[in-house]
Amino acid sequence: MTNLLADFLSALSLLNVSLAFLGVMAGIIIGALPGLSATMAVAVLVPFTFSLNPSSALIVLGAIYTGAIFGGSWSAILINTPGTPSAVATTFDGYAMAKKGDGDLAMSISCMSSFVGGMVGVICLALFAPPLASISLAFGPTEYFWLAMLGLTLISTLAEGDNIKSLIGACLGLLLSMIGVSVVGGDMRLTGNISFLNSGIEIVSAMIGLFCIPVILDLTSLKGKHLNESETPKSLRLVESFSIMTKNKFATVRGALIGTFIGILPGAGGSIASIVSYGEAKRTSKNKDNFGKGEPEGLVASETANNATVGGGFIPTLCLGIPGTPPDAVILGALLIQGIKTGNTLFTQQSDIVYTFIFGLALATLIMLPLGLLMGRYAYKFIIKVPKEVLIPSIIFLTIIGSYSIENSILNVYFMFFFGLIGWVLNRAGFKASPIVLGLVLGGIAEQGFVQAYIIGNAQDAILANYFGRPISTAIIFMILVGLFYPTLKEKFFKKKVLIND
Amino acid sequence: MIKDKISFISSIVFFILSGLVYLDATTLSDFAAVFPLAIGTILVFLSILLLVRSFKLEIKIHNDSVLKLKIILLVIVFFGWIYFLERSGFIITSLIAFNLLVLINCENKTTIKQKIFFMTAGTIFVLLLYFGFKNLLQVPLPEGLWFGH
Repeated sequence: MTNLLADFLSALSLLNVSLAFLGVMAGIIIGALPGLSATMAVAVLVPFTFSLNPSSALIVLGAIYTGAIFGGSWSAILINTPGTPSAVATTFDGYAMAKKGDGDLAMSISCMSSFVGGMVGVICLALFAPPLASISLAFGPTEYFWLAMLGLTLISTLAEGDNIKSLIGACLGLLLSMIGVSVVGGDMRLTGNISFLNSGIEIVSAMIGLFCIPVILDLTSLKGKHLNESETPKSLRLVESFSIMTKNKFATVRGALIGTFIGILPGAGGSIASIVSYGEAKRTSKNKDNFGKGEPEGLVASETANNATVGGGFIPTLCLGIPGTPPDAVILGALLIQGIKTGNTLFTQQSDIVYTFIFGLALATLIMLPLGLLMGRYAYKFIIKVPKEVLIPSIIFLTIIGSYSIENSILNVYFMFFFGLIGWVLNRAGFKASPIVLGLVLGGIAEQGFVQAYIIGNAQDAILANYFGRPISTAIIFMILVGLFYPTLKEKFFKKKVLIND
Repeated sequence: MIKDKISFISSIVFFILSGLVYLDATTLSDFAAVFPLAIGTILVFLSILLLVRSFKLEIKIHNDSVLKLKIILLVIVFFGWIYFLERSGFIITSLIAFNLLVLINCENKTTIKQKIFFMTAGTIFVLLLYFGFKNLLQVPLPEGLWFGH
C-alpha cells in the first residue's frame, strides 16, 4: 500500500504531469491530422524519451497514444475522415451530427466517451492485468480469423446503405489487402506484374483517399456552408453531453469493456473494438433507426471502445511482451531500450515503474478531458468558420502531406488519389468506404488466421472441426450470424406483430 | 427486364474481378491461393445475389448533383499537385496548386478582396505546415528534382 502511494506520488511529480500534458496535446494534434496515426505519433516522439527515466518515458508515450486515439475522432467528426483507423465507426454518426449543426456536441461527447473508455482500460490494466493477459493466449489463429470476420460482417450490416453492397465492399477490401507478397507462402499476388504493387497497398493512404476525396468532390459541388452552425455557439454543451452520456450509460460501459477486451487481443486493436461496440449499441438501442444519421449513442459506443483499447493493449504488452496494438509495439521497443524486461514478473520485480506508469496513464486520460474539450471546441469553431474556398484546398493539402509522410513516398500519394477517385465512383454507386477500409485493415489478420488454421486443421486431419468446433470460435461465429441475420429477422417479426396489432 | 442498372453493372464488374482473382490464384502455391479463392468465391456468391436483385428490385441512390466543370478542374489540379510534387518541390507546387484550388472553388459572388484574403491565408497555412512537418516531425518533404536536390 505504501509502495502504491509512493508510485502514485511519483506519477504526480511536476515533470510527469508536464510530460503527460504535452504528450496528450501532441497526440491529439497528430491524431487529428489524416494520415498521421497513433503509431506514427508514438514512433516520431520515441527518441525524445530516451533521456528520461523509464517511468516518465512510459508516461509520455502512453499520453501521446491516448491523445492520438482521441484526436482521430476530430477529423472523423469534422471532415468525415478518420484520423486513425480506429475512428472509422466515429464517422457514421459523428459527421452526420456535424452536418446537422451538432458538431460541437459531437466533439464534447467524443471527448467524454474517450475519457470514460480510457479510464476503464487503465483500471482494468491496474487491477486485472496478469489474469486478463492469460485470456489472450486462448485466442489462436482460428479465433483471430473469426474475429476479423466479425468486424467485417458487423461493419457491412451496420453501415448506412445496402447490405449486399457493403459485404461486397468488405470483400474488395480483403482482396486489396492481398496485393503484394502473401502473408503465408511468400508468393507475389494480384500485382499484374506491376512492380510498384509488390509492396502492397498502404492502408492509411488508401483510407485517406477513400474517405476524404469523396467528401472533397461533394463539397466542391455543394452550395452554401459545408457544416451547419450550432444554435448554441458559446458553450461546450457540457450539460447536454453529460446527460447523453448518462442516458447511454449501458452503451458507455459496454463499449469500454468491449474495447478493453479486444485491446487485450494482440493485433486486433481499436478498429475492430469500435465496430463491435457500435454494432452492439445499434443492435440493442431503442433508436436503431437513427444510427448513421447522427445518433449520439453510436458515437459514444465507438469512442469509448477505441480509447479503452489503450489500457487493454498494454495488458499483453506488459505481461506477456506481446504488443496488443501497433503503437504498443513501438512502446515495447522503447521499454526494451530503457532496460525494462516485460513479462509476468514485471508486476512484482519492477512494480514501481509499472504502477507509476499506470497512474501516469490515468493522469494523461484525466488531462485529456479538459484539454480535449477546450481544444475540440476551438477546432470546431475554427473549421466551421473557414470558408469552403480555403477549406477544400486545405483538406487536399493535408491528404497529400499526410499520405506522403507515412513512408516519405510519392507512391502513397498516388495511391491515395487513385483510391479517392475509385471511392467517389463507388460511393455514387452505393458502395460505402468503411467496409472497404476495414477489409483492407483486417485483411492481414484474417488471412494469417485463416491459413494458419487451415494448416493446423490439415495436419490434424480435422479442417472443419478446427474452423467451427472450437468453443471461442463457435461463440464468435454465433455473433457473426446474429450480426448478419438479426436485423432482417427482427424486422420481419416486428412487421408481422404490427400487422397483427393493426 | 433490368430494374437496377447500377447493381447490374456492378455485379458484372465483380464477376470479372472474381475471374481475375481465380486466374491469379492458379499461379500461386496452395497456402497463398487458399484465401484469395475463398474470398473470390464469396464475391461470386454476393455478385449473383446483386445480379438477381437487380432484376427484381429497383434501389434508388440519392446522390447530390455535381458541378462537372469544377470537379474536372479540381481533379486536374489535384493530380498536377501530386505529379509536380517531386519535380518542382513541395513548396512551389503546393503554393501554386493551393491558390489555383482557391480560385476554382470561389463562387461568383466572391469579391477580389476576399479572393486575395483567402489566397494569403492559404499561403500562410501551407508555409506553416511545411515548416511544422519538415522541422518538428522531421518529414523530408521533396525539395524539387529540377533544382538539383
